[in-house]
Amino acid sequence: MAVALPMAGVTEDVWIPTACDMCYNGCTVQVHRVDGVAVKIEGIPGVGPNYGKTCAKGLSALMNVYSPNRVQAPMVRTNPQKGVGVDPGWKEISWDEALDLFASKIKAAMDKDPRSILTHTFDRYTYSVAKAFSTAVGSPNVTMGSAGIFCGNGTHPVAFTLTASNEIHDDLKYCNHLLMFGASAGFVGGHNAMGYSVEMQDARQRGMKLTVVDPVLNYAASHADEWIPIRPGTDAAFALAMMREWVIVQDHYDKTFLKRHTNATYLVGADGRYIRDKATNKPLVGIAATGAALPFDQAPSDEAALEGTFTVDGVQATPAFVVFKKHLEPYTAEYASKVTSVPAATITRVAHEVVEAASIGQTIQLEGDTYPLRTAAISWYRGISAHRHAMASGMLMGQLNMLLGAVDVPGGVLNSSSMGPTWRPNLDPDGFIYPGNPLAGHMKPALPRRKVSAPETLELQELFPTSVYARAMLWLGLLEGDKFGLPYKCEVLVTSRGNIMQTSGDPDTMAKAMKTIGFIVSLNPFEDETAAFADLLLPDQHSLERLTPLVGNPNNFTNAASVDESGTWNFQQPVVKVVEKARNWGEVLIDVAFRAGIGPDMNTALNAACHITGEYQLKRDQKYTWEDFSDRWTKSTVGADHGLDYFRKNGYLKDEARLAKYAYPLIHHGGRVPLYLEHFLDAGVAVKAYTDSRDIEWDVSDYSAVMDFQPCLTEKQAPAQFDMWLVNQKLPFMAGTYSAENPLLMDLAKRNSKVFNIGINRATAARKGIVDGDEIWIETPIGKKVKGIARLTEGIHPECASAPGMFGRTTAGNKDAIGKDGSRGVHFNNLVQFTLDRMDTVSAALDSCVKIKISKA
Amino acid sequence: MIQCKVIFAGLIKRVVGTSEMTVTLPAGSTLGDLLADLTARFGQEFEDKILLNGDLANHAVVMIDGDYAREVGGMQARLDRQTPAQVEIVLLGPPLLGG
Ligand code: SF4
Repeated sequence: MAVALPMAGVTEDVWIPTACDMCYNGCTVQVHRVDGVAVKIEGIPGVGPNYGKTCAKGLSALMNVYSPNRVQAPMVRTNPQKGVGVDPGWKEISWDEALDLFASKIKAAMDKDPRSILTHTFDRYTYSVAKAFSTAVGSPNVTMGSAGIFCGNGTHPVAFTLTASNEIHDDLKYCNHLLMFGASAGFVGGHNAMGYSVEMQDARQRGMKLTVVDPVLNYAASHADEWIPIRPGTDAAFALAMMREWVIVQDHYDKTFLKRHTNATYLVGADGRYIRDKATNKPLVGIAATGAALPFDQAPSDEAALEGTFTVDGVQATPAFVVFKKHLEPYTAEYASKVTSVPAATITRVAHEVVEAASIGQTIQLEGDTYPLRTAAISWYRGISAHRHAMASGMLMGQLNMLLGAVDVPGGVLNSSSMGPTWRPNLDPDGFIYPGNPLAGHMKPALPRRKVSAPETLELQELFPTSVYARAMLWLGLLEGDKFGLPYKCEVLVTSRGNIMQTSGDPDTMAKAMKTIGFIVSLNPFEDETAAFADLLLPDQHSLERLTPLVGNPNNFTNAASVDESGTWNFQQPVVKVVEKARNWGEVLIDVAFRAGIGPDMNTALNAACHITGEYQLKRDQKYTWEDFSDRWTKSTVGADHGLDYFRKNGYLKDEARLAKYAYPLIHHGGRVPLYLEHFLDAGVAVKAYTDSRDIEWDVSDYSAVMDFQPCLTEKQAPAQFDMWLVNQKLPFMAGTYSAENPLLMDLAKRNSKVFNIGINRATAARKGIVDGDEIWIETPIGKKVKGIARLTEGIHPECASAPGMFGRTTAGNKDAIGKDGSRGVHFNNLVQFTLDRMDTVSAALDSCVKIKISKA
Repeated sequence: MIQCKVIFAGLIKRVVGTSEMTVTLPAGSTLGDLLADLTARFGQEFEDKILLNGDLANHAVVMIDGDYAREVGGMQARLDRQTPAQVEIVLLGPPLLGG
């Protein structure tokens, strides 16, 4: 791939393929290098997963590689006082000294309690190594922190529920009407950001209708057929009213899907639990024609009843769907209108349009099989997840898709990590699917049912039996772990490429939590806010300097190839010379493991975490170079002919086109998905029993088999003068805090006042005497106060103001990103209240409903 | 009889209190038999960490002579393919999940 094109006076002129690192989608890119200097980045025409396209972030990656503000050498703290803005008194030391110190702290912590070691990163590409390190030390504490605080809590558990995969994506090949709640997928946001944006563009040109429900006219809404402004945190009421419209008013939903592929027909008793067969313990279904009750797997699904009453051994029972339908009754469009501020006629109209577009009952022939064709789907993400009742809202989004029958079929929402010939879901004893992919065999879905136990993890995951993670609870585990029965304190934090001080809620609370940690090692290219708490700061390589195997993987959720499209394998290779003392942080972890005396376990853990097989497995007693490890992992995963040499030469490898049977597995796997969340009931009882036993107030109201709307606490508690919400708005050229470390992207933001300033509805601003460009104060009920510049717009709900992106960096790592004018933007998370009562105790989401008052500065 | 060298890595090491041991099992024994034997030695906490509903828990990776147990028969995988058998039991931390 590297082609020499010498020009006059130029001794080298090459394009080098690699993978982008400016968000975690791993687009395949090529870097133009002239005389050893990287001068341009662009896509490779047609190559996935990004179809040759590159976003503004990817194009800007050059900016930081040559920055003089990078961490230049290993440094140790001399000032014991820690905090953002406090000089750590860094003293330069050698790598040898640094690694010995690092290893000695790991050894000491292991001697005390290995669980006291916490590894944190948002580096998807090296996560397996971080996980292996954590495994080798014997700790369950490895986390991605960051987005798990606001983002995926109402998405991943639902994705598992619907598709036995951790992520879902909409089938833009066949969808004719996409209804999107609080999301940016298809608009340079979400997973496979660029690839999906290309597919979105194709779908829109084909005529797919797009309706966006969001408080802000975001990038998705600005390209949609219709934008429906909604009050923050009320999407659940909208969804419930739509379902009521379909089920109770119109009697228009996919009954066949419910009977064949869900538990809607499973009989439940007065306590909401399944009625089970005495002999087999299988849930029973009622047969409408005979009145008999049979184990679900012995009854013809289409003959099982969705409605009616049955008597089993003298006990009255109804199909679960009866309970589901009854709970929809209060959710009229008029009720939802009061809650959401969306006119009732709009809710009803959208409900009609979507269900009509779904073509319920239609089928399509693909590769010799007959598939249900459901040409409408519901998509959602952070807007749903960043609330006190994230799990409930997310499950309701999933249930909308179930009622349409739009799950893992052409046109619906599809699993996005379980594709490929190795995938098969397993079935639990009640017939429900759960991940069976050997590459994802360690995931934690809600089914099969998990036990609640005394917390062993700093994130208190054991108290979240139906969630996939509990990342937002880290501060609570650090500060109050003993109250929850956690038997140790955090002794060592290893953190790299993730900035928990900036991406958690209120930084003051997070700072207190950070100060409880005995020793912190930060491996970073820049000294960020989290590094302000580090005891040891180690220079990490820039993405254009590092070797990282298997960044792009067709089996990964960031690839998510649609039917007939190919997934892509790619990797990162050094494109420019590494600045003198920077090292690849994955390699550093392996080195430290050997120095700490746990090298053999590190190798075993690397084999397990990376699924390295056969002759490529690392032997326990041998130390491998990063190159050798990378080559083994790559060959084991992609094949003997496709090791590092292949990728160095070719940059990427296109996988085979995805077959319909993998893209649309519903009719092939024979399993079910739970519309009725019976497994939540016992989970809630167990959580309550544990928290009661320790006198902890813990809300279990969302552990319900049917989900209801509940308002966020802010709505109930804020005094009347706090009459607006501040909402956070995603920008396509900002992802993670490191975007705000990039001078080019910050410059782009600042030059565009439409995205840098605080959006306020024009009519609202007029009432408050605020004009475009005014300096304003934003105040919260807990006394947080920040200054911003007003930007007046019709593109925001009248009761809201919007703070875009991930701005307001305090130290910013790269001070050139802040620039000479000193403007940094508003740090939204700084205003978010970080207390237990603001958290979803089912999904561990942190409520980002922030009530504010605004005034002229 | 089958001689089985068992290596423990990750969180499970704390539960069993050792990093490796040798177990002797009757001829024809399977992974299920080995795990039952280890449960008898190390108690309910061992089983709770490794098994879910009688099968390998999602986060438990077991390698038998370098092969992933899930791919060679799971709980029914035989242990007499090599003498002595080498079984590595690893408890992994949580998976990477998007966002
Ligand atoms: S979407 Fe992400 S990985 Fe792709 S080019 Fe943009 S920043 Fe890079």
